[in-house]
Amino acid sequence: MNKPGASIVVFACNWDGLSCIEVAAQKGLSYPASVKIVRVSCLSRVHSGLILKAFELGANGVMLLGCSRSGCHFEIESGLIEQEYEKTRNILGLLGLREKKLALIRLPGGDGPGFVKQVNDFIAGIEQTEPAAAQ
Amino acid sequence: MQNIEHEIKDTNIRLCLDCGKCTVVCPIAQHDPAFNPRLIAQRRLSQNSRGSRDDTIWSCLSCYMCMERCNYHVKFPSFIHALRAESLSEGTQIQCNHGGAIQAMMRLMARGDLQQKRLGWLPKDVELSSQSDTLFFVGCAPYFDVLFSDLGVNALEGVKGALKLLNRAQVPFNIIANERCCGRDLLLQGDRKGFTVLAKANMDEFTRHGVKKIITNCPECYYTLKVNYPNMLGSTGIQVMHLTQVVAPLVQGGKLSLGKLEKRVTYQDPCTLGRCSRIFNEPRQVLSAVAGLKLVEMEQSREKALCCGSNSWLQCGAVNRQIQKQRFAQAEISGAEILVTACPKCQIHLRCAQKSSDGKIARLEILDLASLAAQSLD
Amino acid sequence: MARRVAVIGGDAGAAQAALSLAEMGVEVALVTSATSLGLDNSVSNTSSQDMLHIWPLLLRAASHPLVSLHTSSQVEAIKGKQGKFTLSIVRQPRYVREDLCTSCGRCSEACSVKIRSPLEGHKIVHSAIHAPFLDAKAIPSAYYIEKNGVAPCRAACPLGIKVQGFISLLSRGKVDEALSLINEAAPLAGILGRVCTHACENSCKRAEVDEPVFIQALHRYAADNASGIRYSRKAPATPRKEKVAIIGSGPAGLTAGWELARRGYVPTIFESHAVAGGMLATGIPRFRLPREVREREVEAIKAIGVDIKTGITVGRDVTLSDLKAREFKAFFIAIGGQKNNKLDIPGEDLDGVVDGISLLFALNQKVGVSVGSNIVVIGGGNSAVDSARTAKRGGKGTVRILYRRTADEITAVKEDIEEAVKEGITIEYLTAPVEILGDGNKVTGIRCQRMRLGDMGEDGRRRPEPIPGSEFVIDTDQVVVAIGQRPDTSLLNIKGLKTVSDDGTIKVDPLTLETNILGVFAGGDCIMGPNNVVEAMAAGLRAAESIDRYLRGHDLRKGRSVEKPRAAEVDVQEREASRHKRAHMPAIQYSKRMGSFEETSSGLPRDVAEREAGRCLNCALCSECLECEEACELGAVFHKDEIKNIEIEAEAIIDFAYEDWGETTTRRSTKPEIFTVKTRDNGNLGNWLAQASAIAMEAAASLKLKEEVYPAEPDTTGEPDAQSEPQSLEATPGSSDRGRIGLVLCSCGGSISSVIDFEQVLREIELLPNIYSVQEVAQACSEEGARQIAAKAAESKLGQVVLAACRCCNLDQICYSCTDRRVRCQHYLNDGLISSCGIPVEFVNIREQCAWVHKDDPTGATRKAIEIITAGVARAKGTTTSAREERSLESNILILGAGLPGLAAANALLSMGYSAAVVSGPEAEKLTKKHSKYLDKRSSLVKQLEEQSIHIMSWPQDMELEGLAGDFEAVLKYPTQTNHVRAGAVIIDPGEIAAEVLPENAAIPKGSLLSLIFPRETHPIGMGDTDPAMFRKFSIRETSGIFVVSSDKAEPPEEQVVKGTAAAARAAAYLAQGILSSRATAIVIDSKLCRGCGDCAAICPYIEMRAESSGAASAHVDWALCLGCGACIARCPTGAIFQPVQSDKQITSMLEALLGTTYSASGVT
Repeated sequence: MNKPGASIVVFACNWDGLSCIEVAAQKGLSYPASVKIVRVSCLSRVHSGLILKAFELGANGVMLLGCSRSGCHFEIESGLIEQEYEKTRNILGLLGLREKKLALIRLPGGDGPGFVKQVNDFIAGIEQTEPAAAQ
Repeated sequence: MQNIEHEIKDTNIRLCLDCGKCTVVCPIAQHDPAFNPRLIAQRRLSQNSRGSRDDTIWSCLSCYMCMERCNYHVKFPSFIHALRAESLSEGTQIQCNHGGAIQAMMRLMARGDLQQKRLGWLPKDVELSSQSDTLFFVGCAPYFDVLFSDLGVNALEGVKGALKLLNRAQVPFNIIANERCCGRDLLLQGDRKGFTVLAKANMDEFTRHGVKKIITNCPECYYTLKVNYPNMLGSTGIQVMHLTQVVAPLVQGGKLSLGKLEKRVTYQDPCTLGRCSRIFNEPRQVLSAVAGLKLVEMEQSREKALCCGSNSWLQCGAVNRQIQKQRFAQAEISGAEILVTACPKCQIHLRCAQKSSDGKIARLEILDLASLAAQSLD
Repeated sequence: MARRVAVIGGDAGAAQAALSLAEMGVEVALVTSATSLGLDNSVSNTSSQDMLHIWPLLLRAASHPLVSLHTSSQVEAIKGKQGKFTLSIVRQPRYVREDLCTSCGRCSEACSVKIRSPLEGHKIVHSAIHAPFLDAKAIPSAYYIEKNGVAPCRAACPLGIKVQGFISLLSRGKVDEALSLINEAAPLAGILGRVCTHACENSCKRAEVDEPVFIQALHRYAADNASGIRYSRKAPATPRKEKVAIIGSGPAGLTAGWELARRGYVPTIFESHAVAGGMLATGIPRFRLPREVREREVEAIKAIGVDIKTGITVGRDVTLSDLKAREFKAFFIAIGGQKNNKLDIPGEDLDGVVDGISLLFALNQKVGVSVGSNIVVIGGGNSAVDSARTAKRGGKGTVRILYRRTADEITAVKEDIEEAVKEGITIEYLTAPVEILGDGNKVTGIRCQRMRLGDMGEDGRRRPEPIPGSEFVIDTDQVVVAIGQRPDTSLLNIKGLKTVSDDGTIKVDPLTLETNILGVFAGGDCIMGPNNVVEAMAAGLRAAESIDRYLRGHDLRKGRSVEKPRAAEVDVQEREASRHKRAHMPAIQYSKRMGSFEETSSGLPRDVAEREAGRCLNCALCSECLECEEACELGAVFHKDEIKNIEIEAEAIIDFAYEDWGETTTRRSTKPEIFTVKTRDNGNLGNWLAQASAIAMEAAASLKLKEEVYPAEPDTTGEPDAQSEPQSLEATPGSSDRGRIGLVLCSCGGSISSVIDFEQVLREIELLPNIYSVQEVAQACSEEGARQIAAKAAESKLGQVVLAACRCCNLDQICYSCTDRRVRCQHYLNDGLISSCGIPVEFVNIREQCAWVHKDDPTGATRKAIEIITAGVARAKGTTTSAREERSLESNILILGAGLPGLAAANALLSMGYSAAVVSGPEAEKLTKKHSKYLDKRSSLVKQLEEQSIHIMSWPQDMELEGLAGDFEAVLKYPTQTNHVRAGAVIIDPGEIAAEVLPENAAIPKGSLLSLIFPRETHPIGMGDTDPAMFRKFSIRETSGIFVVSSDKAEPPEEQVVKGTAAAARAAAYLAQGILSSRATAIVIDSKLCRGCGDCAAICPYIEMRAESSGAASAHVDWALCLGCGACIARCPTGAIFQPVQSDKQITSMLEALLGTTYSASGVT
């Protein structure tokens, strides 16, 4: 478990998203230490500028972690982040950076195991297509 | 930062007589009393040390209007760019539009290992000459169309139009998949390092493909490749031409005949193409070659043309909107149905301005010059 | 003086009532029998998602400064009457200190006991020490130990050894810890593990499943496999100078000496034999107890300061008076029994008749001793069986045991008898010797008779009676008489020592073991007659306690008992143990035993021992192995917690646990003064909370609160609360320099620091610019921790503090991840640092995000901690110190809709002293006779209002709601007049007014303030659904001041009244703030950067585009309405909108810190 692994930024919504991350830790689950959490009030707060900035700074992957489609704490339509996600994915596509590097994940609150599975799968996907990221 | 001081010296700023003509013509200063080119110069020159914390330097549009009036030919825009570079080097975090997405995108393009997939839009009927030493430099249009799809921006239409015109005129050219952003916006906002990386990457690519001549549709790419690259990297040995510079002689010489469009249009001189590159006639010549097209001028045109209102993705607030509003009013008064521009960024900024919640901005159509000219061919 | 209400119950409803009252300024004692708030039955039907959403409510209630939470507390009695109640409360022990525990879980990891508990229909496995619910989410966030009295094995043990404790430790491979735990109670584990009569196994509940746990073998396993014997206590006793003499080095003497040494004395044991150990050395055969084992343990006893003088016979070589003269202050006689009991039959004097002890002594200690070829052993005790087995090994002939009772009565250990039989020894039960026959000189045979069991004798055993005419003769050349010994006190030469005449034992007080001579104690076989090792040791312990008390001059009897502790009731079924065979003790082949005295059994191998230990049912749940106390660096675990009785005074009582009252409790009271909730609406959280709010309102009204909270003069509301004002600025050294940042690392009692290398973190963070101090605290979430942080901040003249602990943000909101400790952390820091010194704190979670989740990668966790702390510092640097917006709240309430809810709300608010304006809905009069109940209720409510001179206004032709949240102004336009009503809060009943008025009706024009707010408030109070808007109020505070309550005329009138009262409660709690402050997350719009595109307004109901003087549109928002989601920021093309707590610049700086380090560290740059 000592290899640094792919550097992942998780933009986590403060509500359901962060609760998954918290529960994962409280349940004693684990994921690589190269996963960095950035807490935001709501996924709708995240825009393509921040996502691209993360890539610019060297992230191998960015995960947007938020509540289930209808579960937004602020009752924000999920379409907002989806638009931003699609837009950024298209930019990444043009840049020739694989689209797998950006994921939009929705989990119900408190789903620690769900988060760990998602983040591990995400990393595995990145390391498969970009072996250099694993170092 | 020794070279910054040199740069500042090279702008002739010390020749400034405090006459204030620049401020009078400056479109920003007209709406924002806090922005005052003369005072910016004064403040910087009266400082013994660096450490400029002048927040107003980010408002300058690099529209070159001030230079039109300055009797001593003070290069005020270059002066501002130098101040910005200085400020960035001191750790200033600047407020970028669109959450900094475009700057991030540009810096991502600076990566060495980049393998872009940016030619998906290329129409099948476009004829490329892979052996040609002429490159059509596409610019960031594919990216703009994604980023500004909600504004209805279609910068690629302009590119496609340009390619169609060149094909029709049987001008051979090639396109390369891995061209980078020219880097102008980084240069203008003061990020010299980011710009240099992009410029070098592009030059490597040009050398690899044996490029001798470059045609651009975007005025910003044009000026950057033509002027800034040699300034930064030394002579490139590449001839750079704007599309209108290629097409205008052809239509005038009868080698290319355009079609017919019964429209009343007005032309927005992009600052970089017009005042900065002194290309005023060629675009008009191309437009005039379209049969039925009636070109009407706005109150401010050519050397006096009003800027589209925004530049290098910095600071685009209420003041900028006032400028845009003013420009639209001029366009409306001209009686044009279509506002034609030769710059994708003008298109973006003007379309954005049209999205106004108070509904007081003219809804006239905005089109790229090349796409309009190509339309006439159908 | 604060007013006090007691709220009984621990569900969401109780929390809601407590919170409502606290927000109105009432002190609340919240009493629940559960170990955590939110654990009451009523929420067991709530889905886990709802539970998550309800969490902020529970936390807000528990952490409100006016609420004191009493968990594990049962109300036993209520005395007094309204206005002056006294509640008698019994608090069950938790064994964990709520003020210290951080739920870090280290205790739980260390815990050796795993328990299966039912949770939501399935079983979960957890440690005996655990958080009652959702780990760190318990409220209070403190762990809890599940205990079930004293395990039967321990209860049966004369020494009180924590049998379950050492077994559970062995099951986890903790051998040293197991031996230490045994040695906390008693020494000589290797001996007990071999020769103890193991009452523990006889009471083991595992027998009800299959067979008892092989406790003795495990005891031996611990002794044989531990790395060494450590007899000294963890906390060494203060040395005592008094000298104590112990006579006899048998198990009683050794144990007394051991215990006295552990208490600080230097006892001297006098032993007449050349070897120490008494019967252990002379009476127990070596094949059962090897010499090395005994010597090892005797040596260990000597090593802790027990002086053993062998070869000295007290009474002969030295007398008691001599010893007294040599300053010995107390004496313990532990001489055992030396005189063998006689059969009292003819022929006992013949050659070849020996007593068992002599035979064992000879064979144990001497060489070249020969035995007969045809041996008869008489007796049924351990020494009889030992004699027989020793004799069998020493010779080649036959050995038989004669016992006058049956196999059921035999006192020797069952396994030893089985071994004896397998070794070829025959046992003749119900056989008694009558005469030993001989040739005049030597034994030739023994005449016996058969017996049968007759009546019960005095000793409780059936008396054997001879069967007439059953006599027979057995040929033998050696008879071993092993029918017990008695003490011989004559040797001691102690004048006046009283003995029991018939068996020669010394007369003592059974509780204290005092003899009739002051300072002289006696115990072991010399007072009990022949018994076993463990009882003798128990006597040694008892004597040591008495001697200690005697020498200290303490009462010898106080708090002591001869009774054994009562064994816990154990429902074996519940343990769901599957059958597993008891371990088998490996032993030397029978054929190889003869002629050898090598130890017969060889001890359990490791895997077998651990498996055997795993068979334990953990009868007492917690095994009291105390590993948790060891693991907790904060000292939060304390097993000595006890039941506590508490009395609480209250002016009013609200009882939510009404239905849970047992038949017998005295508080089952029908007293009308106690507010109870009539119907429990399970599964309908919305209604339940509405009922709770309503009842809080009734209780508050009964206290006539308004006069207390707001003094008569309403004009003062405009002034800021003096208490919330920051203290003088002199007390804020360096606070002006925000750039001076200090880092505080919280080790969380080792939970964080055990994974993350703090030294490295501090070393690297110290190098950051802006860092002016680094500091490590053990527990940032305690008052002490906050004090330390504040002290350091003052010393280093800090402007900001970055705290790396478990809290994630410095917002005043409570989100789903929040825990009780994190809220407390904020409270303590608020009190000690933020409000008094004005120093803001930025939080970084290095517990959940580093230490816990990367436990298996300490290097990675440390690296990441450095990165996220650096990111935190970057965020702190980017903090803009814009002052929070504030405005005074109007104390008038506008009620739109005069249905039952509106009228009830108005009445409730008036009864609290608020003023209210009621506007009737447009449909108010369209009611028919079938609504007669409704109409009755309505007219009575209207009458009540009219009595207070409140007249209901009719619906206006046109209405506008202007102003800002908290300071609304309604303009009601009537044909003849226009009314202006100012209001701090609005209660709307869409049932009364919606149909025609909302949202299309012209009376509330679209685009007005009300239509801005209303769509977001479409989740009326008491609608029943568990909706996000309702829960959101708890997490991010209510700021809009709009309360929607829906009337439905089909509903019973009482329910509508409840809803209205609930809305009134919410409004009253809202207004009680006096001053409304913005949420920290509220956005700020920079009008210079706003280009009026309206993208933000398109997605946010609270943002509106307004024309500026220049004619251009610009976005505006009332900060009180902004919920802080930040979606507008992502929409804004120019960065005109920003949140001070999460600006783009801050997030970007964080990303740089998070990615920058690995970036360069891994050489990517």
